[in-house]
Amino acid sequence: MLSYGYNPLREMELLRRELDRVFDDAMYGGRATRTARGVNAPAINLVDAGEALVLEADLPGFTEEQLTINLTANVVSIEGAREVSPPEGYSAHRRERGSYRFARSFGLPTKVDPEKTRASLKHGVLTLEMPKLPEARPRNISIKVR
Amino acid sequence: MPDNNEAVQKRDETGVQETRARPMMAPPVDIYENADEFRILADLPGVDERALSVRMDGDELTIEAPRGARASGAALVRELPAAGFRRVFRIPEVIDAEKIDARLRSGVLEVVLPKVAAAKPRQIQVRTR
Repeated sequence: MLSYGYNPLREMELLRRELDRVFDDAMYGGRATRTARGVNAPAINLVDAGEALVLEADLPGFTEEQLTINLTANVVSIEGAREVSPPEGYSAHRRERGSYRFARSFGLPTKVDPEKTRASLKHGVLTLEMPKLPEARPRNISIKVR
Repeated sequence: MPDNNEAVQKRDETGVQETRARPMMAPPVDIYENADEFRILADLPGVDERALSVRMDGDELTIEAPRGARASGAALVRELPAAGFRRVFRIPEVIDAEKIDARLRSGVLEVVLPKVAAAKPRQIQVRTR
């Protein structure tokens, strides 16, 4: 194809992609959540629940054996791979759920106890409950008034 | 006519109906077909089977589910969407609605839709005399 400075079809394609991106970001809450559709970085939530930090990640179709979690006092890393193979003897109309492999690490804002951390995988959601180390926990200091 | 305007505005406010409390997103799916059935797989992380609805209405299959609860606390990182899932499929062939089977395993829904006999391809024997 000859290349000119202005190609209306190419411009249309770029516009379409840009609009897709804008809609995706608006609907799926940012690019990280595209993992659900095959890109390599699972979206997470991390909340401070007072006594513990809780991390959640959407990992549909993953089994415990397919996930590796490493935790130190202030870094958590999750790694995993899932295989999606089409059933034999079927033709595919749509394939949006890919096999994928990911690795992601997070720095934690407070120190946690790796020994007491619990991990669970339910309905395709990984939950890590990481109790804070005593020095990082919120404390109530009572003030005596005389 | 300010009075009239006010009346119109009031009516608009009271007439507003919330049609969908939460936003919905389309889950990624795989769709497979062979001579006997369609097989649909959908990623539905965080969905409880009791809250999941799989409905066949005419030639339309609807999958709908609210998202399960997220951990509560002060958010430090929030990337996961709060949206529930909804996706509608038009099935091009006649399905035996009684025999539709759906199961949810580790956040992945699998729906099997058997075709009725009339919709299956038929091999016609050619005879020679």
